[in-house]
Amino acid sequence: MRMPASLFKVAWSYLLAHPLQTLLMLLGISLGVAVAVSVDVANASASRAFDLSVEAVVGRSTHYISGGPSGIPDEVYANLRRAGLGLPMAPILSQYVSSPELGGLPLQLLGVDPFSEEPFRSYLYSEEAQVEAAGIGAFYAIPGAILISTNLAEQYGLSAGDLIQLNVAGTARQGIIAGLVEARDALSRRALEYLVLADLSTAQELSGRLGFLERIDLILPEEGREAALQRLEVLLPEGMQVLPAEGRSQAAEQITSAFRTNLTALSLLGLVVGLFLIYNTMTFSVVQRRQVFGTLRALGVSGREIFVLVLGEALLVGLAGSALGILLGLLLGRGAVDQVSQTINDVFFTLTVREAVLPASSLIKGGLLGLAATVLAAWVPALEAANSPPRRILSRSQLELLSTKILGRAALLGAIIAAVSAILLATLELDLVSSFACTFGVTIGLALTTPWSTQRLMPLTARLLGRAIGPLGRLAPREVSASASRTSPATAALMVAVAVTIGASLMISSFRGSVISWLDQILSNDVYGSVAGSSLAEPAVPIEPAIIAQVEAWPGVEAIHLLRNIEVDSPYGPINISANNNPNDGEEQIYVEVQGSGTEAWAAVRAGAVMISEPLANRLGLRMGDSLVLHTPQGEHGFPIVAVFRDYTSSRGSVSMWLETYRRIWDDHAVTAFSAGVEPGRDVDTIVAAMQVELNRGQFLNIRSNAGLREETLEVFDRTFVITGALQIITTGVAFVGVLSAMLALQLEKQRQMGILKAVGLSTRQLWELTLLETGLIGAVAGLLALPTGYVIAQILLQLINKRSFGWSLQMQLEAAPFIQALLIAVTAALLAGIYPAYRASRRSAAEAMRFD
Amino acid sequence: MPASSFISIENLSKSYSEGAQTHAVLRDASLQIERGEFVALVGASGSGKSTLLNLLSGIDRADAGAIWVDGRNLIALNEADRTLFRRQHIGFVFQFFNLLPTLTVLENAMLPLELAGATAKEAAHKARELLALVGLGDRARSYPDLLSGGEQQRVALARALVHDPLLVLADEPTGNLDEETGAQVMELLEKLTRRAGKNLVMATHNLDNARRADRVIHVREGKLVKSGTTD
Repeated sequence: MRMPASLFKVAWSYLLAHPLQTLLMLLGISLGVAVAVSVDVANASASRAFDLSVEAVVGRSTHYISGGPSGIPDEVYANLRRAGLGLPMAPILSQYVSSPELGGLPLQLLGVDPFSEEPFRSYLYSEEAQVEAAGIGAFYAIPGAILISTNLAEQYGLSAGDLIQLNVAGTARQGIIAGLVEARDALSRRALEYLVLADLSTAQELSGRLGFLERIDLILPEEGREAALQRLEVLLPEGMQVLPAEGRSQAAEQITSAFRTNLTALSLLGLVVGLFLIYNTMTFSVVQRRQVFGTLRALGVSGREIFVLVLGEALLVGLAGSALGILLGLLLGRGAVDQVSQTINDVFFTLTVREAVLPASSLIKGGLLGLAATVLAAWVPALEAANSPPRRILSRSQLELLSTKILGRAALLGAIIAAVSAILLATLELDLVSSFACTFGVTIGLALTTPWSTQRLMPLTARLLGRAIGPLGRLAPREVSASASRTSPATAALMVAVAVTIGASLMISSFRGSVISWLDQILSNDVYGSVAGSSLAEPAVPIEPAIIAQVEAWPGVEAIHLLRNIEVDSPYGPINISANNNPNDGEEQIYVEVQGSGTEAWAAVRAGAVMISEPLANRLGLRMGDSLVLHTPQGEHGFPIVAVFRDYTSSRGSVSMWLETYRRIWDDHAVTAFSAGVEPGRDVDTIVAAMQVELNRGQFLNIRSNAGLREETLEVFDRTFVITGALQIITTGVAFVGVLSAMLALQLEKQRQMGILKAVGLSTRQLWELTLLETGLIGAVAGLLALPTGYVIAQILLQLINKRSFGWSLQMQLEAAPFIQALLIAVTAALLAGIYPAYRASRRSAAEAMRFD
Repeated sequence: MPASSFISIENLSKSYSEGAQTHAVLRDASLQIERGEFVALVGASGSGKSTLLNLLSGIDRADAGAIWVDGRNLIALNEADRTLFRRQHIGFVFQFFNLLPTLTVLENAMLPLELAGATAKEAAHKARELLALVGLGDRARSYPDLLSGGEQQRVALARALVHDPLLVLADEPTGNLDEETGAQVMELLEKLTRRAGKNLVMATHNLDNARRADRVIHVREGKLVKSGTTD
């Protein structure tokens, strides 16, 4: 098909002659693409950062020997060496540390045996690696000697020989930079940037774990792996086991994948709203040129050529919009990377690598998404243009009649899509991606009914408003209804954006409400303490026994309960145990299911059973009455599950166990957190303040009152949803651009009508009123229809998506605020979108306006 | 100084810019119209007839000169006051009818009165009277789409007269109608305006229509060059 150059001129000149429309379409596409790219960059960056953290630590090991919570005694490694297995083995002790001289951020201290390291982690030994010779000697010889990367040293202005403070397990230690490590490539450099390397004995000293290893890394040959495993198992003492290395990174991937999928889904929503915008603009450009297309057809231009012309036009704008979106996405991505990393650090695990290479795939994906969305949205308008009958010029009313029919069909189709999606969601156990697809189905389906509903609502509105405010009240709703082909996509886009805002706000407020009532239930003591810098949700760093003794003897402290939080291995992967000695814990939980009463179940726990949290139950598919198998020093042990309790601490889930049971089985007497009751009449804040001074002499502790802990927990909660809020605002922004573009298009087409109205006496003020009444109505309708849609989305998010993503089931807490806010957002956005069109219309004289036709 | 005539156009000029070029539409035009007089403006397309009507109604603004209507100089009024003046004292009939498609026949006819602040009841009462006069009393609830061209222009006549204006301006009122319908509409326009004692200023190409006027003004290259009758 060879198209004459003049045809391209028709397309090109149209885009140039309507710069504002073209600009708005560009903006719609680029915002949609930008959001998708930024979230993808953030997700990919977080994922890559995690891989790098793992790679840096795991290296090329295929397996590792785990000794459980108490670690592996040095002799075990010595015995294995002496056994002459001929396998590469490297003892490891790793620990999160921080240093004020290194920005105070979490770093990984990796204690290694330099002589065993070569096959595992090459950065110390590759030819290109440059470790200063003097540094290597000092690495072994000087107590507290560490190596850091040249990059990290440069960043903080440090050099070999400098002394730095290392905070290890809440205790300040002194380290000396014995040398700097230069990585061989960019990836290793990034991984190394957040590592502090030390000789094994130095790491043992620094972390206070003399004589113990965390694990022994192994490289088992592929051939004869089974035999090697068997030989190893014979040599290992009871309770130690060989586990595959890949399980470590897989578990983390799984844990954060739901979080990342949620973000991706939200980011794609921006693009969907952008899709409406492109459709809107393209439809308008086709309607506006219906005479041109009719004439072209009469002159012998084929329908196919017109189709290509319109689609080509859209692609041109799509290409420019996507390119702009990618650039914008990269800018937004910086903020998104920080937010996502922060959330992963807050909620999931410590992420030491904070900045990863920019994934090219995110950019390509973003660009392709933008183009695909443009083609998809422009397809129908292009088809419409191609089918323009030669020389037949449709009148506006004919067009609107046609669009009324289309709206009816679209509503029917939308209702079917929404119903099918809802049925699938309700009846099938869908995975997360399919659940999101169905949620999109429900949302888009309901969006498709918006234009039809708008048309049905307007006659009644015209009657009511006409009676209340006169002719403008009658005119505005009728104009909205009559211009359905122009206003519908904008109304639908705004409805989707606002409905999702309601859905997300309701979900977050319900979630927050559930967390608050859960905190009320479980936080029964007055004072809480754990080691500073350890996770708020799962404190895993042991508190020095002397401090526990001090708390027990503290004047005014009535009762102290101890908690040991630890990750143990299991056939399902690492599992977090929360072992405590609070005799009343059974009464302080909210249960999903429980054998008998809480007190009875807790009595069973004290006798050796366990309770598991709801997320863990969902993740592992376990229920009350089942048995939870854990690797113990005595081998695999099944624990009867007597209850499943609500828990919002982590989406990984945890096992609640009686402290004595844990100590008996794992022979680990460490305590990672305590809670204490204060005698009646004593001031909790005074005690907390005194403890903060007195107890923070050796180890740094976080000591908080009940209220302080609640506040801190809710702060983390709110921080987690910052990015959700930002994405919602951008999505509403795209919808706003949609309404603005629709209103401008409408105003352009109604210039003549505005001229007539002015000629018969419409004042400038009345013109403003009329235009703003029209946009306000679009906003109000979008807002009103968004209320039930938002409620449905919230229910899906709460009951299905959250459960499938994080294992939490949440109770809907209906509040008026999100609904009122959403309605206000919709009306305000629409009113704002009406200001510029009204201003333009008011500036044009009636005579000028009437010359337009 | 207000002129003694009911309408007095004095040295009126108006030009439009087209890029760097300026195109003068009216040059130094002057005209006196007495109360109740029916004046026809004839001339070639682009001669300035419609522009003169636009200036008379206040929907466009002159570059120089004065327009006195019933003692008020329209040129001295600001946009808001011109709108108010138009709303109260001008009735407009257009070549392309220009009814609002989303309003019914009755609502279209009521609109000027309602914009001027009349209650819906008052406006509807007056509009029904006018619609009956133009023979469309039974089409009040119809939408303009369903009316013939002649019927639409009759609604436009009702709309132009509903608020009892001082002056009715008609721009090619039959230009879009067949000869017979055009004659009927013209008949009605003349009858209604003369009966109510209103001034009618009409731009037209149609000499038959122009002959009905008390006076015919030729507009040629922006100047009002001849006044008298078409005979």
